[in-house]
Amino acid sequence: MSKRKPFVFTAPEKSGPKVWRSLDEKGQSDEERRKAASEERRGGFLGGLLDPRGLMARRKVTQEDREKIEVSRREFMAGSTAAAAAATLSGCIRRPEEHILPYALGPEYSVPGVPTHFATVLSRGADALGVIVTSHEGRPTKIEGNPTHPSSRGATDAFAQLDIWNLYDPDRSRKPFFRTGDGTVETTVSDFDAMLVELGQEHLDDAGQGLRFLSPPTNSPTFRRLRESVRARFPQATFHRYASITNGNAIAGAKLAFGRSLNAVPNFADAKVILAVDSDFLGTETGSTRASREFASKRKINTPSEEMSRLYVVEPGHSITGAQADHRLRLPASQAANYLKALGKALAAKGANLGPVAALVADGDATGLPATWLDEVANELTRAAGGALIVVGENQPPEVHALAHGLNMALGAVGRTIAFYPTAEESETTPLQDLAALAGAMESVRTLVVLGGNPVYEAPGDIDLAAAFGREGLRVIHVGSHRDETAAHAHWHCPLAHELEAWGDQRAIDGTMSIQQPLIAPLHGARSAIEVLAILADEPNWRGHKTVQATFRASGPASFSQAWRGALHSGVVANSGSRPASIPAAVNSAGIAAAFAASTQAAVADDAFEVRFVPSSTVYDGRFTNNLWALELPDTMTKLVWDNAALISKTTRDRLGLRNGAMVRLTKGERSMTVPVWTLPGHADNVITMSLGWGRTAAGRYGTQGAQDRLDPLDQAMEIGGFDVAPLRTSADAYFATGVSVEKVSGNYTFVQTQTHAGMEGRPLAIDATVEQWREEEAAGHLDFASYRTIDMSSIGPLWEQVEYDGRKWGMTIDLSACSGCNACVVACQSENNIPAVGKREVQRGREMAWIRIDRYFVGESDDDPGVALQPVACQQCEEAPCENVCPVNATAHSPEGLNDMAYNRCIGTRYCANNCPYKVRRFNYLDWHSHLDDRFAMHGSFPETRKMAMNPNVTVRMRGVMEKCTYCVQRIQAAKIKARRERREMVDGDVTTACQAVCPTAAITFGDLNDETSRVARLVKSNRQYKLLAEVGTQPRTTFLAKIRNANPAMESA
Amino acid sequence: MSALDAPIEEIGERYLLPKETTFNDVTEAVARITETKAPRGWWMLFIPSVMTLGLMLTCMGWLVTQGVGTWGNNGPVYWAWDITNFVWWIGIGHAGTLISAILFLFRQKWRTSINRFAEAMTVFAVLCAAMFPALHTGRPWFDYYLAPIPNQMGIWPNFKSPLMWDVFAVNTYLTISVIFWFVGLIPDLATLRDRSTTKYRRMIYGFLALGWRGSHRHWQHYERAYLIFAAISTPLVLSVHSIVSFDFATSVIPGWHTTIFPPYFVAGAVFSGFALVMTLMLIVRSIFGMHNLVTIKHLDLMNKFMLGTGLMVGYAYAMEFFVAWYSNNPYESWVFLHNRLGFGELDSQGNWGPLWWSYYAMVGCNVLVPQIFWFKKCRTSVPIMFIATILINIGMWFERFVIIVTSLHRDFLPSSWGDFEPTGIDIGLYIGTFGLFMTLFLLFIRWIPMIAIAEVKATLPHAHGSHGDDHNHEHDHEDHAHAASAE
Amino acid sequence: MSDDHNSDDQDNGESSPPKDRMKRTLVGMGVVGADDKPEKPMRDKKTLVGMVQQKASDAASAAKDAAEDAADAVGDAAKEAKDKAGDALNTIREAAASAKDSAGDAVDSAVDSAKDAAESAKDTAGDVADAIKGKASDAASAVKDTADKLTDSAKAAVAGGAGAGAAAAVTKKSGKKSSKTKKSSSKSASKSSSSSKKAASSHAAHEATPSHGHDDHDPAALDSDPNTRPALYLAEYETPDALLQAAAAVRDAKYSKWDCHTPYAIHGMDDAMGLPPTKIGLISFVCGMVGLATAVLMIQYMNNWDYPIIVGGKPTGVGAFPSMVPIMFELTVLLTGFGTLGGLFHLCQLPRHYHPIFESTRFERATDDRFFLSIQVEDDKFDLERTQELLESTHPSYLELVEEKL
Repeated sequence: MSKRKPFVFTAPEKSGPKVWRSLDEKGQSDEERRKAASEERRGGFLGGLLDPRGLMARRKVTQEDREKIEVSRREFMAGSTAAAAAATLSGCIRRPEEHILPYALGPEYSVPGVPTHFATVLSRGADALGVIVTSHEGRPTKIEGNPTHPSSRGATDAFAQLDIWNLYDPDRSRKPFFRTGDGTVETTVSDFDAMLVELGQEHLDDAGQGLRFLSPPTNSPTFRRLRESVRARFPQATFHRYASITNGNAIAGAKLAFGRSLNAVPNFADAKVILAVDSDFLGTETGSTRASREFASKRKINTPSEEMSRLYVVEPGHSITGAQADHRLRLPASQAANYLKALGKALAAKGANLGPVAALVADGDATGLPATWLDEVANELTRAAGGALIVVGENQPPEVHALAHGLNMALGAVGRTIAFYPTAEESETTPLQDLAALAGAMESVRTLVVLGGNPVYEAPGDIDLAAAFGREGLRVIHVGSHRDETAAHAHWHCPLAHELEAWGDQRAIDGTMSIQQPLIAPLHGARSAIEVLAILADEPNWRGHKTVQATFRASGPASFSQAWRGALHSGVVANSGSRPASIPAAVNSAGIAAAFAASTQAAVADDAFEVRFVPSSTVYDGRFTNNLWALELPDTMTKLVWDNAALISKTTRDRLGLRNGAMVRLTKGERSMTVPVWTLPGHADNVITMSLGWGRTAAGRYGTQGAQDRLDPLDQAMEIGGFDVAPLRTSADAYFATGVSVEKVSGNYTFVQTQTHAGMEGRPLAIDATVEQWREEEAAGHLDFASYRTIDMSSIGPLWEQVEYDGRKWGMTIDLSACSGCNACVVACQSENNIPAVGKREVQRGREMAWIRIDRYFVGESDDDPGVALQPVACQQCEEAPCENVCPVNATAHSPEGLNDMAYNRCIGTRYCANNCPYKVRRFNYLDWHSHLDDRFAMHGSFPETRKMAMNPNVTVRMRGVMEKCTYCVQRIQAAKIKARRERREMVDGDVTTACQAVCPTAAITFGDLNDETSRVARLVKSNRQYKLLAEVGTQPRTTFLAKIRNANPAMESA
Repeated sequence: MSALDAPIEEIGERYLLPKETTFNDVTEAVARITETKAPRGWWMLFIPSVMTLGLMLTCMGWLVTQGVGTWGNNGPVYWAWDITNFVWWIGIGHAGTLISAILFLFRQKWRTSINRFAEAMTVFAVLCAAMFPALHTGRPWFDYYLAPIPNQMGIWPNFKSPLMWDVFAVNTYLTISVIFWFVGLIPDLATLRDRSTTKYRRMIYGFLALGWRGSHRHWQHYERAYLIFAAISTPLVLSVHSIVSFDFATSVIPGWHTTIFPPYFVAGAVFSGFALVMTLMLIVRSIFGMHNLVTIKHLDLMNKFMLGTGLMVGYAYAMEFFVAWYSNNPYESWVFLHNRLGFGELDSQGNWGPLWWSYYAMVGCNVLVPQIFWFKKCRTSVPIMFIATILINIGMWFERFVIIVTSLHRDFLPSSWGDFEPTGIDIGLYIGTFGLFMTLFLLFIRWIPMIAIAEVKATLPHAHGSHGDDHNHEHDHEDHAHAASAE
Repeated sequence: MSDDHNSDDQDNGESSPPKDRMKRTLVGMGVVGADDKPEKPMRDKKTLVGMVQQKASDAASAAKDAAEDAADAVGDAAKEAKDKAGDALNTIREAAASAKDSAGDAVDSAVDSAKDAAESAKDTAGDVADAIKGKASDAASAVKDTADKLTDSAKAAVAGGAGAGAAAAVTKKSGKKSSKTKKSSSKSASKSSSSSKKAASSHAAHEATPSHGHDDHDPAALDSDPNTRPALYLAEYETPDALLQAAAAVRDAKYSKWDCHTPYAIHGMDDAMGLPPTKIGLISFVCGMVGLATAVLMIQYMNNWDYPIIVGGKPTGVGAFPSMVPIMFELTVLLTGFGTLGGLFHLCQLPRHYHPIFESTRFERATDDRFFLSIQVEDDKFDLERTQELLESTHPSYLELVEEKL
């Protein structure tokens, strides 16, 4: 299928070595050989006879011809020998003579068929995520966490998994272009370089007066070093930062409280009582991977008597952090400050020494707040004595962060459950303010260099960069991954290298340095931001490799090459983490008070809604909007795919008389937008949550709003792509806007969920219990959760002899106490196992393909305040698998190790197995999914080449008509077996990690050999919390669940 | 020894055909249809049938080139119209063999007017049915993996799979039905051969009649062979639908996993098969004016039969609820209360099962409609029974739809619950199978004696000598007993 | 005269449907057999000649017998004579009608011959008919008169049939090719038969124009036809009762290679024919058991011996027996079906698309509404005369010696 041409090797003139074709020939003299050769060229005797030209000419036989035809016996023999040889050769003649070269001297470390792994780092705004990338013959195909990296600890978030797809996004910008008049001219990267050099020369005149840079906030030391170089060359040049999602407010809050820019890093591992205020620390906020790992470590208890942390969540929407809450309070984002103040008052009432903060909280208004949420939470926080922690979401204004820091200090949390690390540099402004500054100064700008990001799309609605870019005399140079909204208004555009394509360096939130090493040369020719800066700084060695090395060398390692190699190898620069900053003994309460005084938020009421703008859990800020994996990744709470929506509570929905999908117009002042609503149980009333990153107009073939023509040619009524929040989101209301009026307008929008039914209907599926209940059960002698069944089958013995698995017996446990529903496993599985996306219409039909899904159930009586049970479900690898019995062709059967294997080649697609699967984890290729969204009639015409590169070569790409499902990553099991065998050792626990297990930030998934008594999974299976899903069906699944334990506070419940 | 000589009076009242009917009358009445120009009514049915067949082929082509995704099958509903149509057609295919075989074994003389007809229907219906499992696979070009033949993978089929049983059952059924049908046809083809006036008719019918010459030595073997076919076909009929029901009964899905399915399916199959036989017979009877061969008496008996099987089906429906309740299996109860009936508690979304209406369509058509056949007036009114049989066919389609789709769309894990919506290809293919069926059927009634000439002759009052003589009948019985004991 | 007779016959035909059908059938003899092959007149002629000759001879013989009986005569003898004469009359009538119909628009000589034959036959028939009629009206009182008349007519028949007698002799000598071996043929009957065969050789008669033609027959040419040989006697009956009785008669005569042909299976025929029970059940049973064994062995080999796979944790061997039952059953049924079909074909020796019995056009009604009995030449007891006598004794509505082509 590959369209790449084989390597063409020009053969030497001398027509290669002398070969002889028969023993007779070997003894021939040169003359004879020449003669034979000449005869052969003519085709020999028989060849001459059979030569079509000869046959055609046969009618007019000249004397000459006759002489040729008349041959002696010897000649006949010689001729026929030669003809036989020629016939032998002519069998190969159809192929063009091309030479391909073996991989004799391949790249270092590269053994064909054996993937290599490289440590690198991905930027995460103020943080960085150390990762290990798997590369197959030079193609990065899989990203996993780097265990030595403090922000990763071996896990990743879902976005890291999505990054692979972005690397191979077929709509990535492939060539630079510049705009002339109305059109654009495509050019080359070297032209772009030349233009930069020219630009530098040009701006030498005005010392960079009209030269401005706009880039997302970055943690890269090299970037900062080169920025200073650029400033040195162009003293007047100005750098601006902007991204729609940053932790700018948090840093500003720390600065407000402590007078300097600091990153607050909570330590959930040591926290006993956590109060999260509008904070999705397990989801989209900075450091979520690390936070998830730490948080989960205090939740996975094995006996009721173990200590378990308790999480209180006060939030306006319903985030996955809220889903983990032991107690959860719905509260508009604009009320968070008041709540903290009221809580502070309550704390003070409990005798906590608030110090200067006491004044700040004096105006806390307890009206409308449940008493327990003040008294009991205050009690708990006080009692926790050093184990208390208050975290505030990045969407909250700086003063709320500052107030929380003050309370944390009062609770003795600082240094115990929260630490402050210095930021890479002091920042006086938040990125949003930076952008506003740039917009204000736009008139004076001659050249604007946009280094990454997509500011035209991401900017708040009141900053119209698109219009500003059109100003006469302004040159916008955009270095971006896509020809996106910004590129559409730029005068020059150059492809931006993906993080896996370019050199770089990143600092984690705690200061740990990592070198970002490229896994592959830029696919389409591209420049990284630091290269652009280096060229403008007129660095002689502007290549990323050199500049990063230069930065690294400047950091003064003892032995450069050793340190460099060590950093590349391990993914972190040894001992580069900074120590927590020392902070003042008290917060700057006056400053905080001033900030509070300056901010006013309208009250949230039935006619004055609050609208929140939050990062999308799937497409983030829009960088993954053309990413099929992201588009089809269900948001854990809403299970919506391919869209965002205006999320409202059920009460609000009913009050407004809306149905899911009904269009409403949101108006604030002169700004308004129309958007469909979706009900999210547990959402705060009169609050609307909308996620960023949707409604893109130039995302690419998949994610652009209204790209449905391409996506489903047969069903174009289905709109996709969601809604851009920019019309309502202004720089003043960048995180939430209050006083928004909502009116119903005509129209309906079709939303699609991967899970349409949210109730468990009383079935013991995602089993949970509070610690109290568990204790009671234990006291009553019911030690295990496995007896939670609808029907007790225990009295019925097996009807036939059970299969004994003597060797390895693979099994998995999934700890529901830990699982936060972050979706990393879902994408990891998709990436590892070449799982396609199917499109919105097909998801609506229920044909999504994810091998592991996260079932989300709402529990409890109230639609407005439900509990949430999350349950990742993949193939349970039943020992008595119902699917196997019914497959007529034995395409699915058990391996001797107990895996429920699929032989894709054998599958004819009766789908009977899927029907008979109680867990509904089998997925069917109803159509040619891989090319489905590109290829109108499945004629294999236009599947993007680059997308093929993302495929894992160790996993079959399933064709249409084939059933597929989770295999426990059997390819990894086999690879681990081979590895152990080559190393002449027995396999040990941990040799095999499944893709979902590897990336899980909460380490909820454990995989291993159940027959190995010492393995973690074998121990977990013996846990009292262990139970089998639908055990009553008798399937004897190998995957078992550990019941979720909630650390509910009885005092809160009784109230 | 032959079963054919049991007296007509066995079914009660009087001769099914007028006493004065001669052998030649029978031959003429049946054979003439194949020898004269087709009546206009035939063409009016045939042309749309061929066009519908074209629709089927178009849909089939689209299906095979694009994939099963062109159907509405989806996440939890991995089987939908495909298997519904399969079971429905297979069920219809049961009446033919049942009429032929079981009624033959029970010496029901009245079968002779309809058995040929019904057997042909069996063959065509089974063809229509077999098409669906063959096409419903994701990769139909690999259907041969189902055959127990050596292959490069070294894997054999899985004989534990009910689908494998299906393969054997359906193929056996098709084969035996074709053989049974053809064996029954041999004497009649000989009749057509001997009546033929053109060379081609003589050649074709002559070839097909295999040189049948009415020899009694042949008749002796033939009769016994026919008896054996009837004897093996009867359990075969029962087995085929039982095995089809195993597809569901052996699974774990609530609504499928129930032991009542085999008899329930067989009764339903006979029920629907009779209904379609009736529908078609009423059409053909009126087009070809065969009121003397297929009399109101036949129709009356058929209606009684449908009433009986309808009651059995109704009993099975009721039994399912009992089993669901008695088993105390909450999943099973959920299926019946919510998915099927649509009442009981609403689910947490405040919804009934989205497909509850199909259950009422099923019960209405299959249980309520046949109740009109308690009344003789309804049993003997052609328009009423025509409408009733069509309703019953619709109801039986819904029965399969209810069992398959409503069970699947909401099973164990609510997270995976879904809905089902057919696509145009689903509908086109289903309608198209009527084209296939009707085309074959119309060709059949045009070219093949649609009534078993020889068998009808044998039922004539004077067929076995000394007709109307009671003494002779007793003699016949003795002979029969004698022949039986001689075996 | 001929026209009169013609119309007479037609009238008779209309008034008496069975006779009409018989006539029609005889007319159809011009297109004998299963295949319509007018380009082979020799066979057709031969058959027809044989038929007519036979009928004429029958008549003659019957008449002679009747006359002798009458001459010796007593009352009951007279009755028998009457019966036989009646048969003769009918047969001759038919022969005449046949000749008449066959004559058609044939070549002159054929027409002449046909006319001649028809005339002769008619004459004879008329004579006999008159005689029989007279006798029949008052058999007891006019035995002698009748006998005289019959004797006269018989003599005439003998005289007229001399040529036929000679032909018969030649035929018999040359290897039983002739369809007629009755030696005691009357003159008129013989004449009629030879004339008829001539007429038949013209093979075109749809409408008889009986007239006195020249006796242009050539018995030698006919009888030496090497392409056919007698295959079987075919007797036709109009009711199943008649056939049952005839079958019983043939059974009692210990024939073995004989058969009944009926449009449907007649009850009681097995006994009437004395057939042993059929073996087909045994064949089916054996095949069914083979099917059962095939199923068990196939499943065990494939899923247990050759490549056992863990499927759903279920056992593969004997423990998997319940899952084997459906396929065991299906294969049993399937192979039983194949066995039954194969056994049926084997026992019936079907398919057999050619059989000499199809040479008879009358036999076409065996699948419609007539009942036939056939006795094959191959039967040990077969004898042209005795067998014929036997069959005649069963009162067939029609009797024919069917020849098969070689």
